[in-house]
Amino acid sequence: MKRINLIALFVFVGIVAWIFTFDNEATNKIQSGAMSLLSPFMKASGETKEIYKDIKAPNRSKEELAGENEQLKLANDQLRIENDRLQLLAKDNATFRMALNLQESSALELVSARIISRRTSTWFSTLVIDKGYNQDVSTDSPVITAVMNESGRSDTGLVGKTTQVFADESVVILLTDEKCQVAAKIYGKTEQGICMGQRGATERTPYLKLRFLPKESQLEPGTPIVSSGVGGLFPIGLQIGYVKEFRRLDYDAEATIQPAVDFGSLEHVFVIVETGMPMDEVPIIPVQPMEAKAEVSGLPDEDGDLPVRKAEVE
Amino acid sequence: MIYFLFIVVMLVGAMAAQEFMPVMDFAQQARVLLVPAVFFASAVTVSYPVMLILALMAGFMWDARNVVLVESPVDLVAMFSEQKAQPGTEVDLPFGYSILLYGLLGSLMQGVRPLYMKGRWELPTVMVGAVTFLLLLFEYLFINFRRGDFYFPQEVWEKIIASALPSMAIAPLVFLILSRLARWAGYRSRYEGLAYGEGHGR
Repeated sequence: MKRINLIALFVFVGIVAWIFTFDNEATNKIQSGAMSLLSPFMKASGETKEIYKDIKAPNRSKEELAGENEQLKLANDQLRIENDRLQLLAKDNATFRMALNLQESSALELVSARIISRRTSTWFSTLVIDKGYNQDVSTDSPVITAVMNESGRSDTGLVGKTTQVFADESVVILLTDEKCQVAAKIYGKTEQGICMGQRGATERTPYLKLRFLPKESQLEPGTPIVSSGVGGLFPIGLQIGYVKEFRRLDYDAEATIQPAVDFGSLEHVFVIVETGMPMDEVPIIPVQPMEAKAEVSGLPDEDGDLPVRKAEVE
Repeated sequence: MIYFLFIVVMLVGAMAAQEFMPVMDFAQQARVLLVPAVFFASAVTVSYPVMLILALMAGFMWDARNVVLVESPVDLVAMFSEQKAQPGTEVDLPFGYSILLYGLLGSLMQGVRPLYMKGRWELPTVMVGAVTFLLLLFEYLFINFRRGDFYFPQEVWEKIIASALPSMAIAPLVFLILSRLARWAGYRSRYEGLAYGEGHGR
């Protein structure tokens, strides 16, 4: 080998060895820079795909759109009523906790986010959303979306969790990835296990594995699986999916799960962020509607208006 | 020097264009891997030290975008089994792995440089597909190694092949662009040989 090539090879190996010593903080800083540089391209790519989808979508008549609008209004009213009821329950819960001298739990707030890039890495099921630490998103925040359960009612489906958070973007690792592990339980029963994706899974075979189930478990296909709250990362009761197959192994049992969320058609998600405030001090606006052009946070002022954190004028 | 700058611009452009590459749902969600394709094609046209510099740049850019750090504050598997708890940040593919793989596979590409110099693009084109296949295979093997077991469903092979084939398909186009750029820049690819000493490999 020529001397210059040998020298180049040694220098190359030295630089690679130095780069391998980068810790997570350094890696995050580099990736944060790359993300801010590539973010305009990701957003442009997402918008291009939306335009392409609009072109491909069949034209609908005015009547059809009016009907759909009416249905959405109805659904919106129903959800508002349900939301009000749940907020009252949350307040009651906070009051009872205080009365019982239980530790105050932090309030949870939902931040709506748009998916700007999906599945960019070959071997990881990830997507990039347009909210980051500037919007209070932190690492390991659960990401959810609305799903229809078997009875046709709207439910909360688990999408995954944030794994890297930058200024205005976050990387979400999906439930279908082997690295996203969720403590899960069979709905209405006590048996628990760990739900995780499968290595090399694609949207054609996006099944999850529910492992470490007790050997005596008996699961029928179609049984709902929800998050159990064990480990404290994911709230209890989030829809994970439905049992597809069940197998007994030598020491325990495992099930194949069909996810409740259709990961291929996701466009918007919600990130659960902790406000850090006790439940009884938090203003009652936990969910920001998708259409909202302004994000709100903090306590209401004297007139009851919420402060605007970031106005998005389009 | 100008030709080298052209390649750097092409790599940066490929990085931006990669964001617009859709996944192929019919092929296990494989994608056209533009950055590796541009790098491997460029690797044939430059000398070995320049190829290593390009490997550094392309690998660094690729990892800055694609390395995934997953934090595990609680080791759930340890809670449900008798394994020892290992909470913390896990990195299956550490930052810099692409640089190493690009350098290694770029060295393989240098092996077909004499053919490229003679104006024969057939084997270099096939090699771009082959090294893209190897790149993905090494990545997947490394993930398996880190996770402690080897799991190779058919979908993985389909995905690797479906990603390598489009890279091979666009390679002639990249070679064409590179040859035009070389002409504009007045760059003449000259094969210096890998053997040590004057006169060898010329």
